[in-house]
Amino acid sequence: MKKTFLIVLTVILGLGGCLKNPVATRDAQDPAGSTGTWDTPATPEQVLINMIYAYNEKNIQNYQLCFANDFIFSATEDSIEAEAQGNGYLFRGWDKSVEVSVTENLFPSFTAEGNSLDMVLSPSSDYPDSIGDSLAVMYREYSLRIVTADSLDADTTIIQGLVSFSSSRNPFNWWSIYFWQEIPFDGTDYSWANLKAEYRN
Amino acid sequence: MARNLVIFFCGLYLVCAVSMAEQPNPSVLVFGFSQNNNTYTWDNNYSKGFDFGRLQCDLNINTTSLLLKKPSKRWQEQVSAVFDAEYSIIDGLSLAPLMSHSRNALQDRIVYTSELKLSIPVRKLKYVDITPFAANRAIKRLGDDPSGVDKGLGYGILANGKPLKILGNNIGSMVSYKYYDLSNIPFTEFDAGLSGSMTFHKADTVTWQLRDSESTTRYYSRVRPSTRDDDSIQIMRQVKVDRRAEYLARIVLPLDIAARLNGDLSFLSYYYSPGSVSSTLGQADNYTEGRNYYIVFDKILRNRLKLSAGYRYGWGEEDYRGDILDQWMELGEFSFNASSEIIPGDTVAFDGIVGVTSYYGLKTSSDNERDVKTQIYNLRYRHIFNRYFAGNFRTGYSNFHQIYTSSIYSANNNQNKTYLIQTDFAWSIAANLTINQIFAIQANYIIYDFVPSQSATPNRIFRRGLSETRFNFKMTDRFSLMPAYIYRYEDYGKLIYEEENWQMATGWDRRFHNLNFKVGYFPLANFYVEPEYSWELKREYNHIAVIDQAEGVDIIERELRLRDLKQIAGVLVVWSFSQSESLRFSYSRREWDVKDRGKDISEFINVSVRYQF
Repeated sequence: MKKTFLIVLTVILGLGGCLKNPVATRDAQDPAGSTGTWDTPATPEQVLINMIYAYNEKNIQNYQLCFANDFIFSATEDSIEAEAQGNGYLFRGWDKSVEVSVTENLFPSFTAEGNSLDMVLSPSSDYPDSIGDSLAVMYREYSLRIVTADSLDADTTIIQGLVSFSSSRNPFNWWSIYFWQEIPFDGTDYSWANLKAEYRN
Repeated sequence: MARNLVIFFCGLYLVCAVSMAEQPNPSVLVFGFSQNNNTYTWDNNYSKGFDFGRLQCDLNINTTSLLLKKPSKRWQEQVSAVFDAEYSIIDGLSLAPLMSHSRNALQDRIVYTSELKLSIPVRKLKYVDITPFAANRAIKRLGDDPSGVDKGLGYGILANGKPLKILGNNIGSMVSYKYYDLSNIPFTEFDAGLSGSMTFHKADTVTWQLRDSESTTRYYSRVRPSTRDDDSIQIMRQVKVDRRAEYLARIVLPLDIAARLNGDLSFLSYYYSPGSVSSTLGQADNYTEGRNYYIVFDKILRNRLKLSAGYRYGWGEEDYRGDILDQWMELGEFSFNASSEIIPGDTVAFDGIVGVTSYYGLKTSSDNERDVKTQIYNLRYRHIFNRYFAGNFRTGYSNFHQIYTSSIYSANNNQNKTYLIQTDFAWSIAANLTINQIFAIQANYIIYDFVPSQSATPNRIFRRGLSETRFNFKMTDRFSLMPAYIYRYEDYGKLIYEEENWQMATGWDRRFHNLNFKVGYFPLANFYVEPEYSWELKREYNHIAVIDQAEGVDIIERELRLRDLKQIAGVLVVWSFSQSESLRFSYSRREWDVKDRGKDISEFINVSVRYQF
């Protein structure tokens, strides 16, 4: 049996091509672009500043550095609406990999000529920040300006709402966002979460 | 239908309540309330099980309410009630009715969902248990598009294979199918699974599992705002296919080396119709597939030294809808672990992981092609000096190196290195006094592969030191004092390589003091009170280059940037009625004084009750 095990193992690893050098990496070309605007997130406020720059510069590498590995995105109101419409899966299990994947879909759509996506975050007067030693909750009012153009015209949409970002500091890392909750303004039927959900595969 | 169900539930409850005195199962009531500034949350649950011999019933009622008071009042409520029962007609044949009703409300948008379901579990057959069912479901939407009612009949069957032994394998199997013919958004779900496990020789085992889930559903999809002149909503159809296989083998090889091999294969795809109305929409056909293999060898030498070494291989492919996003990845990772009890009272452990994950364009080369190299090493040592004094020492190193191959993104390539040294000690000075002390220092370097110039270097260093002291003084069995003090120092700045050495240009530093005083008191055996006071002061200084007028040279001056003082007073009260029943209340008030920002006062309240009757 043991001999069989070793034969099966060799066949699986060998024929399956299941070996990769765990230390070798590829060479990189000399940079043609810039690093984007990013500063070490030594404070929870700096995480949001990095996020704003990454979003507006459409820099996915810097954007994903803003989120913790156990990140969760929650849009309770939109989730309820989506569940009611039968497509609740759009908001389920929204972790870091989903956030990165969604943003990888979103950014290229707004780098095309004529299209643009600009984001502004400002502190909320109703919900003050709560910043602790290793945990922080910050409320921000957001405003997204979306411009989509075709051969005839350009269409501008403004989305506004309230979000809360919960951040934490990990002993081996900097501050990063582990929970992002969306609270749309009253009377609005289209939110940041709706926009993001459209780009979820 | 919804009103009838509510009336039915009320009637059902009265009937059950009347007969409750004869029932051995207690009712459980859980009540929770919390307030955090402008956010109020209520979370309540009532559950009751009834055992009438051949008839077994469960009633479960949940209510959740959330109120955001600012910027405007927003109510969100969720109420659900589920009653399910099983009546044994004869041995192996039952009737299992289920009734459920839920109300989800967000301001004036309300969704009611009701379902009546009748299942017939049949457990008389030799090789399989089957449970067919028929149901009626209705979903009513108010105040939002699409408003109206979706309703229809549903049916399905669940079959669970009884344990079988074939060729030494313990085989398990299941298959289920259900279909709900709702008027606008019908759905179908199919699920099948097959698993097995086999033990041979002494401790060698092989387990495996196959799973196939397929579903078809329709749902409402709103066209994105830039193109929705008529605010149109269309019905989309989604087909999901999810297939997985897993296996785990453990075998003892010659020289008593234990080998573990596990792996998994997965395939997940979505198909949509009609196709996307916009090229930017996410609802486009896509699939992901992957496979992972992991082999580990374990060896124990002389009952003292445990050695383990493993290799992991991963492969994955993601195909969405465009060359930019489609990619495949490959992972190779080596890991090891060694631990030993050198002599009684001294244990040491060393572990590490080194690996590379590479991403490639799927159909053509991509600007997102990259390697991520990971190295993590940890060394831990524990020494017990005597029965009153013990300590741990830990040192660690991690390095994450990100390498984008394309010139478009390679400017961001960097190594993120962290060094950590930590000790902690536990000291029992007396039978009623213990002290815990932690010291830690950490340095984090971010070093970019391409540095444009020394003056504009993006390289950074962050350093941190921590001291934490906690006392636990148990004055009597019912009265304890728990003071603690935490001090932390941090600084941060540019990292410049000059004169053949790394040098730090400090940008800021900050110091943090935290005094905490807690008292634990049991005035009664089942009543606990814990008042607490915490004083936290944080000072942050910027390091600024200014010209010394006398000398005419640049000097660095520290300037107070932030003074942040927090005082928190609170109390925790726990009243335990029994082992599983309690009332818990906590209140805390925080005064937060920040330089140039004024004083902020916040209050936090939590109440929770768990009661059986």
